Amino acid sequence: MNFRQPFILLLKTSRFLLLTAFPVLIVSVAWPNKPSLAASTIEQISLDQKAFREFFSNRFPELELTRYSEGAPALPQFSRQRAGYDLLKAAPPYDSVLREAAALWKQPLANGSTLTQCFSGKPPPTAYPFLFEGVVHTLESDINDCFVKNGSQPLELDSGMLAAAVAVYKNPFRGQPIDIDIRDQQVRALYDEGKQYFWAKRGQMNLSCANCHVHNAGNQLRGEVLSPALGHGAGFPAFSMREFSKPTNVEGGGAQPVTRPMQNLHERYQQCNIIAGAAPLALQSQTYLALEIYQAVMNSDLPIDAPGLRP
Amino acid sequence: MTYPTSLKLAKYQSGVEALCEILHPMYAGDSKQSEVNYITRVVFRLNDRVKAEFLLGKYISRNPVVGTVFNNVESGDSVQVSWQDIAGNRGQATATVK
Amino acid sequence: MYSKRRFLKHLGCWFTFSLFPACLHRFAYAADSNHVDPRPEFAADQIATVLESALGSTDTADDATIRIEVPLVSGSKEVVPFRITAPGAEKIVVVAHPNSHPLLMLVDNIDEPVAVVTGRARLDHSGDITCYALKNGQIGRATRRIELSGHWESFS
Ligand code: HEC
Repeated sequence: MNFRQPFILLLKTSRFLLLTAFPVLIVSVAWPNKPSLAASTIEQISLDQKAFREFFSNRFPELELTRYSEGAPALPQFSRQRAGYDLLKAAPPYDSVLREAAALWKQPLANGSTLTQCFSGKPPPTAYPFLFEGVVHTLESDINDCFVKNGSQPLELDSGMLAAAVAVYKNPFRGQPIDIDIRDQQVRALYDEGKQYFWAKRGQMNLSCANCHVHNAGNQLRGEVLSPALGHGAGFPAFSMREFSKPTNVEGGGAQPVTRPMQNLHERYQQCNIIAGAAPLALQSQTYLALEIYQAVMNSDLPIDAPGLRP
Repeated sequence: MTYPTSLKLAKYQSGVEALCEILHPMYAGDSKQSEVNYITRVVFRLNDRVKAEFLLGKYISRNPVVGTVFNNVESGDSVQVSWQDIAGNRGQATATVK
Repeated sequence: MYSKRRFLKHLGCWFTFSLFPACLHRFAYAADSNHVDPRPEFAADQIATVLESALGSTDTADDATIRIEVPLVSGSKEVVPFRITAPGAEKIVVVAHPNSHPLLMLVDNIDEPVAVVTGRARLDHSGDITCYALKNGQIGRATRRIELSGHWESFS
């Protein structure tokens, strides 16, 4: 037997292997991965919820579920600041903002109708955000739609006035459970998009939302207690004491800067992206809406606590 | 210049806590502000009788909230608060015990 | 040759003339901070002077009946809420140790068996809030420390 024969055989077989393996490899990579592209089912979502809550009930055993809406101030790690929080709550600084923005709901728009009239047929704030005819509706977008439809200028998304207007609508519903409709497949697709955004790492620090708000919830980051992701959004819009204390807010003069410390959820998302060294997205952008839906679905049955007060 | 004043009564132990909020900028004249204007005096009265007189300085925060507790009140009692700042602005608010 | 002495001289000149403009804002706004409160107790920069003009004496003693409610840690130095309970007090003086003018609030003409007063203070630094209460000619004193966590000025 020629001593070269085994090598030739090997060469031949490997050529055969290469010829067959490559197309298989290419096809398997390029083949659309159907099952993972479909939206989560309702059962999968309820499993997600259960796992999420179990994590937090293990982390904060003595914290009742309804108190998560309060954000970081509900945590035992906040106890050293809690006395101040309670004193502020005795005469909450957002009261004057609410009084000011309540006038906005009664004020006639360009064609004479009012914001209150626009919202007479709308669902309660506990059902927001929801999907209708393929469009995500948040309270912010609905209020601005009403302004535009009635011939007035919409409010600026980060003006604080819009957040205050939302707070006026949410305030009477304080304590009522959040209830998001996830029967629509498209909503669940958005839920998946938000979930992906929440758990994916990004930015200069390579941090995901979960790194701070799940794995480090209750720990301190530069003097701030990190809030648990469960309850995120239930206390928004929120009056931020930090924004209120900024010298730039003082210089405005008079009672005018008072509304500015009202912050809506997407402004908070932007801040979080910035502190993690990631690029902030636009307010009311598709990804933030998906994130809001994901967090709202996770908060199902938690009470609304808006407007909230944040240190 | 008028600054909105509000008076809020809340139950506090056996009495009532009166909390007065004034939406006043309390310009302290430090940092980069050119103005100095802050509230110097806030007086609480219960049925026209002075119960406490607060003298304030520039180290009271913006939109100040000051308050005191009335231990013996009956429903129908009226609480008045009045204030003045160094620019001569004045304000007042009243509330009735429920 | 460019001597060491000449080099140091030039370096000194460059430093002074490049850093001097950066300090100008201190002078630009200096006039504003010259405001002096006409009331002596509020203009005082020593706690002893405050007590002398507000209560007429600096003779104080610890008083366990005075209760001060403040946060141990405050996230904001602009808004530090406090509530003081002083049974039998006729006059209450609240001072903050770190402030350049320590007197925060003076409550006079108190007409209640148990004085309870609330306010919201601005603090310059972490430090002590002290309450002096005048009752029956005696001045009682209680102190609580407040730590400012300072996150209001960090990021965005
Ligand atoms: C570097 C850590 C960090 C990361 C990453 C981060 N956050 Fe935050 N987040 C904070 C801090 C600090 C606060 C303010 C304190 C607190 O938790 O309330 C905050 C607050 C919030 C709040 C307000 C909570 C409340 O009720 O007051 C929301 C909502 C939030 N983050 C969502 C997010 C989302 C969504 C992401 C991902 C895009 C994210 N965060 C990423 C640090 C982070």
